Amino acid sequence: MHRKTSSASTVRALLVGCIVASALAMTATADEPLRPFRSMRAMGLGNAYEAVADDLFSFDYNPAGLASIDEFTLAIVPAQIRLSEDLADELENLQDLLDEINELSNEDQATILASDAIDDVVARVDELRRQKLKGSATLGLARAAMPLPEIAGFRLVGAASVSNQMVTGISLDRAGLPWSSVVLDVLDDEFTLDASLEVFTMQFAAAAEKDLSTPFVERIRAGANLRLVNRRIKHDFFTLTDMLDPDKFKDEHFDTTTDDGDVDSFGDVWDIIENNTESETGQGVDVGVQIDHTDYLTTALVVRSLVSDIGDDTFPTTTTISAAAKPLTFLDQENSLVDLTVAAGYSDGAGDDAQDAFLNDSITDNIHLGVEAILFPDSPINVAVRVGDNQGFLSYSAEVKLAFLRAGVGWYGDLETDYRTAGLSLVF
Amino acid sequence: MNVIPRLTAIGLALGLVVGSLVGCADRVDEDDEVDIPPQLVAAGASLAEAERLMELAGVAIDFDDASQLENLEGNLPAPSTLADPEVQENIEGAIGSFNEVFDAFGTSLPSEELVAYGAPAQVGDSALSLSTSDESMILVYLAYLTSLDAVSMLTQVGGDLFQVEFPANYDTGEVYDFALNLDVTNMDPDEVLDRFSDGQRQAVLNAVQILTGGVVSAAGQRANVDPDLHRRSALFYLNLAAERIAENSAEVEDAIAELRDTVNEQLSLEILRDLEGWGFTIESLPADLVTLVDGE
Repeated sequence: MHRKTSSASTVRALLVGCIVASALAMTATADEPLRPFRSMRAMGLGNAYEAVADDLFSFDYNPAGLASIDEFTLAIVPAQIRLSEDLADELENLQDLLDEINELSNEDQATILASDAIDDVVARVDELRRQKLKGSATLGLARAAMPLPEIAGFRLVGAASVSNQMVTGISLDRAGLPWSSVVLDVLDDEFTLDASLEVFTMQFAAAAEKDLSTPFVERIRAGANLRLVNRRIKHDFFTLTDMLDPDKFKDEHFDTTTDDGDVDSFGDVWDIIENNTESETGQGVDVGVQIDHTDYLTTALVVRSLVSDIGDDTFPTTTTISAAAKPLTFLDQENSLVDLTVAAGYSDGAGDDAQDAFLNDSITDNIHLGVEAILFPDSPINVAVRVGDNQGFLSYSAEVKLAFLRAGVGWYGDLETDYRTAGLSLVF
Repeated sequence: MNVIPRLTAIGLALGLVVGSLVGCADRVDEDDEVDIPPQLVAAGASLAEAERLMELAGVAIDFDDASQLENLEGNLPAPSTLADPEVQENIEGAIGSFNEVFDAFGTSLPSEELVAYGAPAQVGDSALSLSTSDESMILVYLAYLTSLDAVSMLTQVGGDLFQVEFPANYDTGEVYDFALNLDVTNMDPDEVLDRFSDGQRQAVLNAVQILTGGVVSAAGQRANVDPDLHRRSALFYLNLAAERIAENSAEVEDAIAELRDTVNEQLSLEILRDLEGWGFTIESLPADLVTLVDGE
């Protein structure tokens, strides 16, 4: 009798372990190099944005683009999220699994072991090893740009930005002996938990534009961006075996103590964040140039993280050359119904989003391509549709503009995985 | 004048189309190259061989099949199956392959300390490089296979004198029943021992040693197990597995410890107690068993 109780407890411990793993997938985060804010437009264009950049989201791609802003502009992003396809699927199915487990918790051991739910858990854990559970969220970004008095024929623009960003990621990597049984094989597989919470990232940029009116260069823009990053990170590694004892696991990996012992206020949540993460500060400088060769062709050169450091490390430098064209302008077919933009870029260094963690051994790893069609481009109400090829992977977005409000959804692929994206922004 | 910009724009447009067509690269190529340590490659091959031989012997356990775990007794091989020398060969092959996994990692198990009935044993430290779960599972498998090997040894030579069979029920936790076809009530131990042929004595001595780690003799005849194959006893493997598992989960340790106690009390202790009455001499035992025997 006692034996049955112990076995049932063991099964419960395993189930709890799996649930904790799923829960972690939702709460965990990552600490990798530079995590630029990627607007819906830039992602839809496959990040081929350096030459296209002409708005406040130029901050993250090419500060020279800020010089295109000719009046005081304020942008607010209340929320923008990016969930990996795998994580989105897990979240969609998690409730079903939890319900199933909840029902089973009232059953005896024989029923539990005979249940399909056990097979579901085994299959789910097996699947977990092939999944990329990643997510990022920006909940509050504010940017403003203001034209400054012209000096020596240079039109100047100053801009500032403040934002937060939470980047999450958890992966389960195979380790240990290659057992044919999934259950045995997964026990010592290693969960890697990466967490990064940029609490208060500030950016200050200055850009200038000058008309040259030469045969091949109509005007040139240049800009620089100073980024001050303050973030908290957590790197942790653990195995499913470590999770068999939930109390011990919690003690060793997650400190949930708070000043008053309860978790009922933002202060308590912050206590937990502070207890479980390390603070890291850093700065980086980006510089960029945009050249309008004609009214339908622009090229750009950008060096991101030209100077940088974060904690004991640096943000990897990324150099990008890019070009954007307006085919309808080129064909003298400009109209008020649709505006087309095509863009391409070549990046070297791949320091953004920790992409340098990958081999980057193929030409497509460095290529960014995108096309944008805006219906009723001159109207306060319009729709933008973009399709891009980001390092060989599909990306697209659709965004509706209603006066100052923009809402969009999209798909974004990079070397690691595919993401679903959604965002809301207000541009005044 | 505008030829170069126009050509560039056309090139961009074409590049976009072509780029889109050749897009969607394979992410498999993008993962970091992983260097698999040579000892893991060797251990993996040995593990695969062990699993293959267990399958061949019909003694594999599917840990992914929860219903099989619920009814482990029902999935144990029948004694008649274990009487097949070919099955025993595969079982011992699997034991050898699991040993090779330890060899590949240079894993050294603690020595099996024996004491001469009474004095407590000291267990040495071990240096491990396998993960705790991998080591634990290999130990569980070694305990399981070694037990089956012991049963196999006995079933092959029992003849009319004794046999191993499934118990009438599994309530006591006993999974195999050793039955002697003799009424020993009024028999002298030496008289009982005389009924055992040399081959039967050898099988009993060998089986007891690989099962319990105890050194037993019969009128000067001693066990002659292959020390490279049977490096430790089933009981020792089980105890060590419980110890390793306890590092991660007290609950799982309880389940293993319960199984270990069942083997100790219902199988090892019972056989040892019987052997004394049949004229066999118990020379030394592992400390755990000594405690149990003393406690009787």
